[in-house]
This record gives sequence, structure tokens and C-alpha cells, in this order.
Amino acid sequence: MAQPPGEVSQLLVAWNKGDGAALNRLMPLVYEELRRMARRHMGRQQPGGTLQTTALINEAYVRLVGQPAKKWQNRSHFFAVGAQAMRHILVDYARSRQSAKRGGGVRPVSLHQAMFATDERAAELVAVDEALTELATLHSRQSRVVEYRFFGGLTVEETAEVLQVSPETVMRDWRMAKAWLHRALGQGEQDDT
Amino acid sequence: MTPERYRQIERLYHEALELPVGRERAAFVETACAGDEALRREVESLLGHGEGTSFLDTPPDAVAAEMVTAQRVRTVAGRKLRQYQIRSLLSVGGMGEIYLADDLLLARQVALKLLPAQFTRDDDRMRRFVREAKAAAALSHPNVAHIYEIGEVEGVSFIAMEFVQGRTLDVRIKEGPLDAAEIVSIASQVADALEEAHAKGIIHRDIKPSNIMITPRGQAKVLDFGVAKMTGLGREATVGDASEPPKTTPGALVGTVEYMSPEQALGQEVDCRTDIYSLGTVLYEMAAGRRPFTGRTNEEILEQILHRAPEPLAKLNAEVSPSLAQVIHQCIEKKRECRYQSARELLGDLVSLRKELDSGAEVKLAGIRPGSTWRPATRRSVAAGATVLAAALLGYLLFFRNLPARGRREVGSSAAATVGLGENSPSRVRLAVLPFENIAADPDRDYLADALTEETITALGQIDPEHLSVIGRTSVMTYKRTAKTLAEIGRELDAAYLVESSIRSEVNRVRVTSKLIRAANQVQIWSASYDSEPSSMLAFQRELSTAIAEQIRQRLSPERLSALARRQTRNPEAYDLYLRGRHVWNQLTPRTTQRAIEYFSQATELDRNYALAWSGLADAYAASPINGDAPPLSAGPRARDAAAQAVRAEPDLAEVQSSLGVVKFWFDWDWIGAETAFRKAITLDPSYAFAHRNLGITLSHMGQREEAGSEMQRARALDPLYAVQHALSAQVAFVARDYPAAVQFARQAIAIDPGFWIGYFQLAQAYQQTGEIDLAFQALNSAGRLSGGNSKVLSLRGYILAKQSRIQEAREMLSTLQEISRDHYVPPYAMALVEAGLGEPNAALDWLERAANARDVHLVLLPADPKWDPFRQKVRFRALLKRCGLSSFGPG
Repeated sequence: MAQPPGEVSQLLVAWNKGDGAALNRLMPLVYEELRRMARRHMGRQQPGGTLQTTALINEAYVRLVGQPAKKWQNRSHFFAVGAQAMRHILVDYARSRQSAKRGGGVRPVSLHQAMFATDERAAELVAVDEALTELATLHSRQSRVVEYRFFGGLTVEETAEVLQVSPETVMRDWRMAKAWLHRALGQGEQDDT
Repeated sequence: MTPERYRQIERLYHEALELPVGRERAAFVETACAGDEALRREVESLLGHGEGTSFLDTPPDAVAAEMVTAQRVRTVAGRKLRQYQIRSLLSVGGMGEIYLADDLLLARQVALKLLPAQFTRDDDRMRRFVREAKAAAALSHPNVAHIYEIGEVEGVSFIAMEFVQGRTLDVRIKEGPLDAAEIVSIASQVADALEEAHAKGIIHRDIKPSNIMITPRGQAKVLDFGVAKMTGLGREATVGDASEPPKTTPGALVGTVEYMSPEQALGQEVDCRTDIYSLGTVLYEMAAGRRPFTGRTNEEILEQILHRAPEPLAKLNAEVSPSLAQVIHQCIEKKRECRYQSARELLGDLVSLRKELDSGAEVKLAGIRPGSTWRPATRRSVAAGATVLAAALLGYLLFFRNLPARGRREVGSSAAATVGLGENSPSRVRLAVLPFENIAADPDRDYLADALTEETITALGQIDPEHLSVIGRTSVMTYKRTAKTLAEIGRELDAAYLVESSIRSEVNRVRVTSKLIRAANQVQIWSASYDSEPSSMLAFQRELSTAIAEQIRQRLSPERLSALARRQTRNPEAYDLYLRGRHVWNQLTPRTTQRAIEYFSQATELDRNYALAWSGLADAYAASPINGDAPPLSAGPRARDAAAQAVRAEPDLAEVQSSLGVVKFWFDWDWIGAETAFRKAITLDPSYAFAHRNLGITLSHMGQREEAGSEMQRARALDPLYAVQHALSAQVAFVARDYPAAVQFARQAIAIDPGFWIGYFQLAQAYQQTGEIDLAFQALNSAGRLSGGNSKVLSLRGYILAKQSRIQEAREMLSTLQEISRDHYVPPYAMALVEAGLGEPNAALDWLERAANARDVHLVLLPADPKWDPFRQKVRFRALLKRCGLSSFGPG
């Protein structure tokens, strides 16, 4: 049942050891797998059902790393990559959805209230993404904490593990990044600086 | 901004957070910024944005789901189903997707609803549905969206119906209250449609704003006649029905319970008056701009639907005429006998209202029953109420079991109210005397109600001011005739206890009933009634209030009071974290257990004396080796330490004693000690279901089947909709060798929560014993998928494979487990079980001995689990039990 650790595992190990190039090779693999799985879910998943992003990442991990169960370190590192990929996939989608709406495009006529809820959510995602990109220029760790926890569903401890800091630091970063994002999304450009 | 600047803000932000909100913090920021105005504004604005829940607390799953659906639309659009050419998606709902399509045969546009596959897989259900929908299709009425055809093509079931242009009523309502003419017009049209349908024996069952379309010309069209039954909404639920697996879409975006009639909420038989009720709630919402019953959770809403009087419309919108308000309130009477008895009767009064609007002269409403205008509803006894509520919840669950866990509104997402937090010394318990309710419709007694409220507040205030703080009159009077629930009131007033009383005056006597209720869970602690002559009431009131106060004092002795104060934290953030912790802990998966540990640890960091949070932490650590394969040698000491901290903070709490018992049972293998602790917990709070469950499990492993069974029964009765109670009842039945009962319990657990792995695990374990191996493997597949890789599932699979003489596969499982164990802890018990299945007693015993060294929690299964029966006579096995201190227990 268990397979020998494949390419993904080796890349994870390399990345963990500080090899930045490994991450660059890892991302497309994870990205593709997540997209592929989302498509596959489409056949299974019922319309309107929720699709748990963390479940997707988990499944991608099992598929790519070939581990039937979790191995703490590898798994949390993989989740970090998965979070990043998930962020791209979702934000791309949310963005294309918005531009379709603005440009008329092929956007379906939505009558159902559920759709309105997702409208808001999609707009929020795009805004979060933009604010996070800005935050990354000021405090990249804070922005990664949000990425891992929000998009990847990592726990505080797993986030701490990936970032090699204490859980307390993660909590502090999370708290301030949240305040920053709240403000960025609530007040838009009326920023004081 | 530069990163350096940001660092500067970061440092000040965190330092400021250490200080209490208010002057001290502001002064610090002021000084620290030393005149740098821009810096000060930055820090302060961040401080002002930090609190509360936000979109970041919910993962972006909804968008992910939509992304997938949207991809699906692209694949469906352009397809042809028979004569229908699909154009675009109109909406997505729990019952399927609705597309706009061209009917090429009749050259018209139709709305095409494609039904999810699950609906149609069940032939019987499908037949029932088709019969119902066909009857609805026979409806021809200008205010009903016509159903053209129900059919099936290429395995896809569909309904073709009239495509109505316009928008749904819920969209209109969001824009603000409608004027009386609009309300009466829409109401009349819907009532007309209902009259026609009811005459044909069709009940809609799901009248709500999103099912009413308004065309650009103001015509109302009711959608989805004959469809509601399909969704489960119209299903007459019965308790025994829980074994039937859910047929509805898992994870669907389901509707709202807000428009449900009380009888529907209770799962009772419904008739046409349920539609009248639901229409009434829609009218109410049109007039008031809000629904008559709202709440943070479906439980709260149901409680209100069943027990609370709606806020009088006149209070919410002064523009609503008394006669319109009367009509609406009569529609939403809780007892169906008090509502309009037919759509026709309602229509009659709507016509009169129309005339009133046209002429301006008040008209007589023929359908209004005397005395049926709004009045405060009789509050039922809380205990009875709780039973009814449980039934309602069950009814609700049977309708909406498909609701995803994430979709359920989370318990405790808001922090405790902060009213008066500062002014209380931590040792005081806050209590609120709610305004006495004058039940009889005799306004002459209102003064008496108010006077008694005041007297009781005063009397209680004098009892024990050091320990008991009674909330003042002005604060509580705002809750006169409130629609708020007790839980809400408790939160808003930050009151741990509420005194709820009523006065009922009859010809020659006045009866006063008082209850003391714990706000957090609405458990009634005490209740009594007092009778008096109406004439002597004034003289009696002081005596009465003193009596009530005295009774309450006895229930809240100083010891008890200070214990109660220590139980809860004064820190709203810690309280919030605690509630979140409890919420996720309840789910018993590796991931949620880990989250619970985080929440509880954070709560204990904020308040080191928070006994409940320590207890939660102990419970969560104790659960981690069982649900998440955490190594017991690290989890055990942590659980033990947290339990000790809980005892230090407050030993006399049921939760704390129960945590102590949990540690003794799983980690210390001191079962007698565990039993004592659980029994003590139950004495402290007989309503604590978790303690009953734990006692049941403990007794079961001690071989005391009968008492174990009755404890589990109590746990289930206290918490009937919590799948874990049923899943672990299956374990107790399994240990008692009652496999059919185990199967039944496991199936119940799955029916309640199809996403809960232990339900499937129990099912598999029981089926192995009954010899239904295919079913066992099937259940194991689900358990494996949902458990997050729990070793128990793998090892049970290995065991069953071995027992089926599929030796090769069983050995492979063994090596898989061993391989996993190179990465992270796998309980040695897992290997032992597979070896036992393979008939390798020595290998199994080697593993068991290793398990004993590692303090593997699963060894608690040895004394009673039937899988170990072949080992009972073996010397090594007996020595092992003895070494673990478990040799005096057996399968009984």
C-alpha cells in the first residue's frame, strides 16, 4: 500500500532544508494536482455542495506523496505549498468571475440567494489576496501565516513548524495580520499612510 | 510604508495589546508615539480592527465549491435533454440545478431542474415524488409556476417548468419593508394559489420568500409546488426513522428553518394550515423587514418557533395598520386551531383589507377569532420545553441531515457580553430576575407583575451581596415581553442565572410560578408555585418575593456560589475560545481534537484559573491518542497535568471530575478511581451527558453490562442528537456481545452524522461479528476516508482480512502499519490485533507487551473486547492484564 517516497517527498525535504529552488519545482506539481482533483470532484460532488479546500489539499498530499497517513513534518510542509497553490487557484477563479461580471461575459443569470453570498465571498477573496500581497512587502511572515492558516487550514502548531517559529509568534502574527486585513478590507484606500 | 515602519507599528501594537482597553492603553500609545501623529493613528486603527470574528475564520470553501459547479455548468450548457436545449444556469439549490432552456418542440423557454442523482437512485422515493409532482403538474393557476413535465433521460431526472421572469421575493425584501398595498396584493395572490392547491389535496410545505417569484408587473408566482416533499421538508419524521440513511444531497445549501410551522418543526403530520403559517411568516417579514423568529443557531430559532411570541408588528413598523397586523399574527399562531383554517378564509380577510386600503375606512375582518390577537405566549416549563425542543431538533435533523458541519452556525461564535464585566469581583455570581409575566389576558394584573419583579430583585439583592449580584430593575425591564431566548438574555446581561416567573390570575386565586434557570444551558434548577387570594395579593407580595429569594439562596449556597464563580471566566476572549474548543472537540477527529487543544490552551493562557478550559484541555489531550494516534507517553502527562490544574482551580465541577476520571481510565488504568470520579461528576451535575457516557464506557469494560447500558441510555437521552453518544453506545453493545444492537446504534450514529468516522468503525466491527463481511469492509472504507488515517481502522481491516484467511493482504496491512510507524507513532495495539487475527498469539503478545511499555491507551480494550476472547486463558495474556492492573475485570 505504501509507496516509496516520490519526487514530491524529496522536493519537500529539499525545500525544508532551505533549497528555495525545490519550492519552485514543487509548486506546479501541487497546483496541477489540486486543479485536477477539483475537476474530478466535479463529477462526484453534488451541485451547491461545499468543497473543503483542506480536504482537497489533504487528498493531494496522499496522492502525491503516497503516504496513507500523515507524517507530521512532511504533511505540514506540503500543506504550506498546497495553501499557496489553493490561493492562486481560488483567487484566479474569483477574479475571472468578477471580470466576467463586469464585462457581461458568460456569467450565468443568478437568481438564487446562495449565489449572492458567493459573490461577496469571491470579492472578499480578491481583496484578501491583494491585501496579502501588500502585506508581504511589509512583513512576509505575517502574510504567510494568513496564507497557511486561511487557505491551507494549517493549525497554529503546523504553521509554526513550517515557519520554524514558536506557536506564540504565529498567534501574534495572525492577530496583527487579521487586524491589518480587516482594516484593508473595511476601509479600502482611506489608509492613513 | 516601509518594512521598518511596519516593524515599529508591530512592536507598539503588541505592547499596547498587553494593556487593558481604555485609558491605560490609549495613554501608552500616546506616549510611545511621542508626537508622531501618523504612527499613533496607524497603531490605534489597527487596535480598533483586531477583534471579533471575520471572514478569515471561515475557509474559502464556498468559492471552491462554486468554482467546481461553474466548471460543471460549462460542460452542461449547450447540451440537449430531449427537446430541451440548455442555455444557462439560473440557480443552484439543495434540490439541484435549475437551467434556462429552450423547448425546441413548443418554441418556448422553460426552467429545467436537474435532480441530483441521489434522489433518483431510490426507486420508491422517486415514485412517490413523481406521483406528488404529477398532481402538482395538474395545477393550473396564474399564481403557480406551471410544471410542464417530469421526466428522465440518460439517467438524469428533470422537471421542466414555466420560466418566470422577475425576481424572488427575498431579493425584494432585502430592499426594505413593502407597503401595505404590495403586501396585501402578494398575500392575496399566494393565498389564491394555495386555495387552489389545497382543494386538490396538495400542500406546498415550503412557502418562503425564495419560492415566490414577483414578475416585473407585480404578479406573484409560487414555485416548487409538489417538490418540497422531495427535499425531505415535507417528510413526516419519526424517531425510529433514524436508521434510514439520508437520501438528500450531502452538503447542499439548504433552506432555512425560519418559515417552518411549529408542527413541522416537531416533525408532526402537517395539513394545509402549515402553508398558512409559513405564508404568515413571509407576510410578517414583508411588513417588518425581519423574520418573526430569528436566532444565531437553528436550535435557537426552533426554540422560538415553538415557545416564543413574535414581536408585535406594530412595534417594528408603525406604518402597519392594526388590521393587517391582526391578520398576519393570526396566520402565525402556534396552535393551528387558532390560525385561519383555510386559505379561503384568509383570502376573505385580505379582500377586506384591500377595501380598507382603498377607502381608508376600517372594515370588519370576518376571519379574526375573538381574543386571538397577539398576546404573550405561555412559557412552558423549561424541562418540558427541553423535551419538546429535543423532539423539534430531531425533526429538524431528519429534514436537514444533509446540512454540512460547516454550514451549521457555530455555537458560541460571539464572546460573552461585556455588560458590567469590570465592576464585578470574580467571586460574585450574577443573577437576573426577569420581569414577571402576566399570563392571563388581564392587564389589571400588570402592575402586580411589575411590583413582584421589583420586590424579588430587592429581596434577592439582600441575601448575600458578597457572592450574589442581582442585576438592577432597569436592565431587566427591557426584557419585558421580549422575543429573545433565555440564552441570549443571559449573555446580554452577563448573568449566570435567571429567575423566570409568571402570574396567572383566575376568579378567586392568583398563582405565581417561579423558576431558577441556569442561563448557559437553560437547565431548570428549581421551580415552585404559590397560590393566593387576589384580594390579599398586595400584602402577600413581600412574603412571596422573600420566599422565592430564600429558595434561590438555598440553591445557591455560598460554597456553591463561589464554586460557580470560579467555574466561568471573567475574560470574554477566554470564554469565546472555550466555546470554540468545546465545539470542535465534540467532533472527535484527529484534526478537530488538535484544534480543540489549541483553543483550550489559549483559553487557559488568558485565564490560568479557568477550570472549565483546563478540563476541556484534559479531555482533548485524553482524546488525542484515541482519535488521532498521539503517543500516550506525551499526551498522558499533558492530560494529567491539565486535569490537575482544573482540580486546583475548582474541584467541585462535574466537568472537572469527569476529566479526572478520563485520565484515570485511559492513562492510569485506575478504573475504580475513574468510576468514582465519574459518579462524583454525575452527583455534581446529573445533566452532564459526557460523564454518563464515560461512566457507561468504564462500566462496560469492567464487565458490568447492565449498568453500562443504562448509563449510555442516559447519555443519549440527555444529548440525543450527538452522534458520538450513539457510536459509543454501539461500542458498549459490542462489548456486551449484543451485535445486532451495536449495528443499530452505529447506524443511528451515521444517520445523525454521516461524516463521523467512529459510526462506520463501530458498524464494521459489529458486522465482522455477525459475519456480514462485505458490509464490514464497506463501512471500513467510509471510516478510513473520514478518520484521517486512524490506525484503528487499518488494524481492524487487517484483523478482518486475517480472520477471512486473506493472509497475504493481512500481512501487507501489517507491514503498512509498520511502515507508517517509521514516520509517526502507531499504537502497538494496532499490530497486536492483526497478529491476533492471523492466529499468531506470541507475536500478538509481543506487541501487547510493547503496548504496555508505551502505555498504549487501547489496552483498556483487552479485558472485555470479544476479539481477545481466544487469549483469555493464556498465561502471558493474564500476566499482562495483571501488570496493567486490569486483571480483576473481565467480559462479565
